[in-house]
Amino acid sequence: MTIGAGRSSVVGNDRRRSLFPSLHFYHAFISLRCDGWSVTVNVLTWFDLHFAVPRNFRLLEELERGEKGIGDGTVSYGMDDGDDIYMRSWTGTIVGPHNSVHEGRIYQLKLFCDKDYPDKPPSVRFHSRINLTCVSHETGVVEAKRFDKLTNWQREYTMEDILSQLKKEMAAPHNRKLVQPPEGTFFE
Amino acid sequence: MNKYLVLGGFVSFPSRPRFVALGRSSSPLPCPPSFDRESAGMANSNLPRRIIKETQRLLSEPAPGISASPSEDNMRYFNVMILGPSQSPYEGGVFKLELFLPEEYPMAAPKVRFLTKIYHPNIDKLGRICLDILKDKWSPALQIRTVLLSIQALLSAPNPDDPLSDNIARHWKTNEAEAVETAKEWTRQYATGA
Repeated sequence: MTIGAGRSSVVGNDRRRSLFPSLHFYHAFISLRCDGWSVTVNVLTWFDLHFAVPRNFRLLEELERGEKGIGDGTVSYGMDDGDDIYMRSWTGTIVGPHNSVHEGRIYQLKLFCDKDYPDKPPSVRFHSRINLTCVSHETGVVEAKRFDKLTNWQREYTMEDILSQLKKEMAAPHNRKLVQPPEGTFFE
Repeated sequence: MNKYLVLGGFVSFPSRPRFVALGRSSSPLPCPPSFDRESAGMANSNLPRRIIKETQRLLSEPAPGISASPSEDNMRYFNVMILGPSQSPYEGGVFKLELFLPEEYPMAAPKVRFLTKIYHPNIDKLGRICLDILKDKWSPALQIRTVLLSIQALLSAPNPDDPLSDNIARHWKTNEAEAVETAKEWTRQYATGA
């Protein structure tokens, strides 16, 4: 049985820390998630409940970051419907990484941020057909239990983090040589 | 099979610097957000005094045509209503907005946007507002109240020369009467709660 501390693990890097430098106690909501033999402990602090950036402003930040362009451009995303003030539906793009069968391919994904985002992760599925261990062969859905970023989701994670991690996943030893469906085909 | 077990209890972790000490260290539960003095020790000690003061004043002496109240689960997040100013195309409309005070506030401006659809050259489809005091002209001397009053004033005086929505601004400059009509129509359609 493994026990992983979810939310608490990022606290040390959090810049919010600087506001309260000398305090050594905090209270937290604890949630346990049992998944077969593993148990994930999520610590949701009082701080998260009462001070965190609310969903809509968080998504506006992500939108602005996406519009400016991220890094080398191999990972990008944008909103599907510019009129949806709740910013639910997004399209992400990943350019396949070097030294893998994915090199040079462009993959499209759909991300859906529900009302409880970012407390809960978005749902993520590939639109372009792909063969990856964490992706359903039938639907293209990224299966949370096989993809660590979703299993151990933390509020600080962003859509960019998911896409970057998926790109890394494509180049991982267990994925980089898998036979792929023809380029330019899509999940139904 | 996934099961979520939420233990409603609270656990203290020593030696992890995280946030403000509790008013009463033995208190097992946080108080709900509230602005009375009794619970201030716990619920508000984390909020800068300035925000508490501003909130109290917003609630006790609201500006005419403006209401702003903090959300129950996040005291930096406000639900805002602004009435469309008289003599403007937005007259008769009730506009919903959301406002968030970032951690850096008051050194950084509040974040505000419209949730009600509005036809205005300085407001885009996502309700984002082009207003100098929300960006480079922000000063810590300004407050939530002054920000909301400025937004109300922006409704009375659209500025198509500094647009956020190019199409609407062009409409405003080429045919103001027609643009004003559209703004009135949108107000009727989206902001009257009908």
